Amino acid sequence: MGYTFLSSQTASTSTSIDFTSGIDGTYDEYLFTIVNYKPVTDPDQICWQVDTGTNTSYNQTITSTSFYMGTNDTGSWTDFAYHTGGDQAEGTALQRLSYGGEGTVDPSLTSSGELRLYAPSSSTYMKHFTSENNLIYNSSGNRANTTMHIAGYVNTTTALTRLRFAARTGNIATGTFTLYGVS
Amino acid sequence: MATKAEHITALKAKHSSLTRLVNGVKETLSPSEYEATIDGWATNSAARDARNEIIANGGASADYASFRTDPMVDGSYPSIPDQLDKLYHDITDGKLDETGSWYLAVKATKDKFTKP
Repeated sequence: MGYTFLSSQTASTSTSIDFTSGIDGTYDEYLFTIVNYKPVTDPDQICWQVDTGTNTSYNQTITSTSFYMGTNDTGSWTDFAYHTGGDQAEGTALQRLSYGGEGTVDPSLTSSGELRLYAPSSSTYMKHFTSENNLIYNSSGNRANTTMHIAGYVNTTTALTRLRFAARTGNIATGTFTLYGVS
Repeated sequence: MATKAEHITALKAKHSSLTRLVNGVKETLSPSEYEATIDGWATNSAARDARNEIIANGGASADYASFRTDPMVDGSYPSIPDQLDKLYHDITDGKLDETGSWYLAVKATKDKFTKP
């Protein structure tokens, strides 16, 4: 398996990070990495959506499933659970990647992870995706870690050509978003 | 708890314009995109305020079942092991009634997050 760097963008108080080129039929799999995402508004999740052609609505129909596990630095809290807040049932909203997003409470805390999109250019099949994301956040003075796993499909047989990352609410303060082709 | 309209006012005061990155190039949102983005942010913020209000103080909500069962929500049902432990002690103490610790714990959750 080889990774081919396609493009990278670094947020700077950005409403969204859009990839509108590079997603085509060249590769069967595309990997997006998100490094040190931090929202302006605490505790807003990093989310994404896709679109077709040159459309800019970013509201494709998505069905997804989600679970998380977490612990805090004192060990007083641990959890492993399905997360209804991260799933969609034929929804058109932004699809979450993370459980939350550390904003302004602790400057050193961020979240990082990846999103994989499979055969986005297929004109026959719906489009699968998988993602995992790790979040460090401040919870009532304790540092907590939550990793979130989400997978699902985009319910369209039209080729996907573009992908947008955005915070659920507010701007993205920082974060590097990189696109690779996987062969 | 701020209303959506109050959030819109606050967001517009904070952001006179909004920019996004498209393939590494910064773009300013058009007036219609700006309005739609502010509206979306305000909608989410108002919904979060309403959720936080219920988590803090309880109340009626169409999402009462998720509040009751989400282990991240303060006041949700105790974990299954904790509930079984409460049942063990209730049986030991002869309190398999409305005075038992299991019944009271479950009742506290149901009383906090109620059906609308």
